[in-house]
Amino acid sequence: MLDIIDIHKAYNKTKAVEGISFQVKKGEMIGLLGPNGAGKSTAISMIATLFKPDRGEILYQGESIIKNPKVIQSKLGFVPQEIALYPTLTGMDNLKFWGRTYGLKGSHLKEKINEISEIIGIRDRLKERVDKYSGGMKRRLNIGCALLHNPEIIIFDEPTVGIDPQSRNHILNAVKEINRRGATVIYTSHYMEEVEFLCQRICIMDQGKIIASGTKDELIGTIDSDEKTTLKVEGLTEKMIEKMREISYARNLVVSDDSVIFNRKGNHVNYSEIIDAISQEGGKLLSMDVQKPDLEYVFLQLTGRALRD
Amino acid sequence: MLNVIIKDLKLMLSDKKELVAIILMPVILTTILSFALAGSFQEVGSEWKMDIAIVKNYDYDSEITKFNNLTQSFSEKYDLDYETIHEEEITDQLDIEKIFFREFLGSDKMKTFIDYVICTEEEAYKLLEEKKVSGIVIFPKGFIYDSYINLLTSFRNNVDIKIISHPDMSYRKRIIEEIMASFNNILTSISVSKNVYLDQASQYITLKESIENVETFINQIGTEPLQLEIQSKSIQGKNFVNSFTYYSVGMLSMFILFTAGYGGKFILDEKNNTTYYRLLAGGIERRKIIFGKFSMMFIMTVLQSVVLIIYSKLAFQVAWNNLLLILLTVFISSFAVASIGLLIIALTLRTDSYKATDAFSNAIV
Repeated sequence: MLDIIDIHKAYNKTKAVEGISFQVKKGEMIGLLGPNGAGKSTAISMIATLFKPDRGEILYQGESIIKNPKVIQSKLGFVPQEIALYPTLTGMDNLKFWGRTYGLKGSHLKEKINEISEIIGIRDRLKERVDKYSGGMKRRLNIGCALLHNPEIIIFDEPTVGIDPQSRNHILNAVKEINRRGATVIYTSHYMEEVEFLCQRICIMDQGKIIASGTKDELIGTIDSDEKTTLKVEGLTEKMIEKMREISYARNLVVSDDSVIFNRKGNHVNYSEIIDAISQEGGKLLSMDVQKPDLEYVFLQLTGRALRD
Repeated sequence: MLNVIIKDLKLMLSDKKELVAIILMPVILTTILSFALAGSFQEVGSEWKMDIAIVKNYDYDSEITKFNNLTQSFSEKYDLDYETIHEEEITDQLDIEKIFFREFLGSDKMKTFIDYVICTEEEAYKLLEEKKVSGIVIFPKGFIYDSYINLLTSFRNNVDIKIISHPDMSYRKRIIEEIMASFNNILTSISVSKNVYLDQASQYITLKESIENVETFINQIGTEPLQLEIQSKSIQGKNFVNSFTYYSVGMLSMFILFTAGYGGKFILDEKNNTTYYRLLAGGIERRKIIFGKFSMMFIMTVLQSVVLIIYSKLAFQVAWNNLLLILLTVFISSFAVASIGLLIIALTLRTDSYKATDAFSNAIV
């Protein structure tokens, strides 16, 4: 449906996007995950036809949107990172304006406003001015304005930045619902859990490049993805540690105070050998924490930096 | 396109502060200023005439005598047969009082709009306080002596004529100043002619002869009619401008220009809250966005004008005369203002700051 082919964009001498390529299939939800400044917003701004790439091509159903932006504009819903609304107008006026911008009129526009305001949960506040809304409500209206014309593709640029958890959940559920109804979604965020929750496919971006892409499992599979296990032991002895080091699935074992940390290799492990080693040496297992690898960990492994650095 | 225009108008109308600034403010200011400064304007339909009080702080006779003594000593020193100047011998043309009161203020044209009364300084102030006169002209002590020095010798003495007006009628002070400047021009032209004569004559005759003949030369200049020309025009059907008319038009002109600044402000607001980019992403072309602002400014300017015209007509009976012409003027001026707004929009988009709008609103308007 959408092919992004080796696009580049630089501002003055700063390279914001350096040759990224990916495909978006009809009906899927794809996430661009990366820290601030990774180039996510620049990439989607080019897809949204806000500006042209310096190099590369973007095809919508085989047709270049760089040469002819109109082929995608009416099919596209764009939810910018900032609240792109008119604060002195009411919620209703904003929805009407953006609906008319996309050619909706009369009773059809009314119906769509009712439907969308229901989905985003602001129906009873439509007559109030937007500057009276809470941050979460503004975000939701910001999304609503992009959905009125039933777009085939919806681009969400970090739509949950700076809002409370309740509104965030509301937005995430709304996005999921929109996708379930058939819209193709491109979702950018630096919140790993949002992308994990929403997207079937994920592109991890850093410094203007896509450094990895695939499903969550595929991404985790690309790195040395052992589970990190942390044991708290009472009466920890050198002999006990030696015995644990000899266990085949406990890799990279380190000791810190009364804790033993190792990477567990393999999926079918029941830890009985570890427990035996502790009890045979007169120790007592106080707690055991098993940390599964996540996208944060993947990003850390790929870049050496945390996602929100 | 209409959708964008309606949205921009709604935005303008939804901002109560801005609305007050551009619609109500001219109405309020016109009302306040018109009432406050009504005294500075002539009543509609009344005959326009100005009364002034003239104070003569000089002593004519003693100053003539003083000047005679000076010219006598001058003649003796340089052995000139220079005629002494005393009242009988000063020709009519060189009598400064006569020039001012009879030929200048007494001319038919001046008499049509100036009445004067000669009085003491104290009386003059009282008359001014009671607004019975529009201003006072005070001729200082030594005025006659210094004027003759300037006219008949190569020396220059300062002649400081004071003009005092009532604070409510400051513009009349300017009129009196203009009148006195005209009188001064007459005296100056005589003086300059004399100097030119002395320069030129000295090339053909002796200095002594030229100085002896200077008075004859000046008398000849003085026989020429005064070069004072007061032009008056009457325009059929026009009324006198009262304070309400004056301020209605003035405020309208100023505030419609303010509206031009809103184009730049609105476009930058649109950019700052990223609706501008959202519009572009929605396929709305840049020129349509800008035309929306143009239309908004045009409509707002028409609205401003119509509100103030109707208000001034109903509240103050301001005579706007030909309604069609007024409407045409309103449309043309609104178009001009919106066009200025377009220029500001272009500058704003280029500089990406409110500077162009602020500079126009604060510095130019």
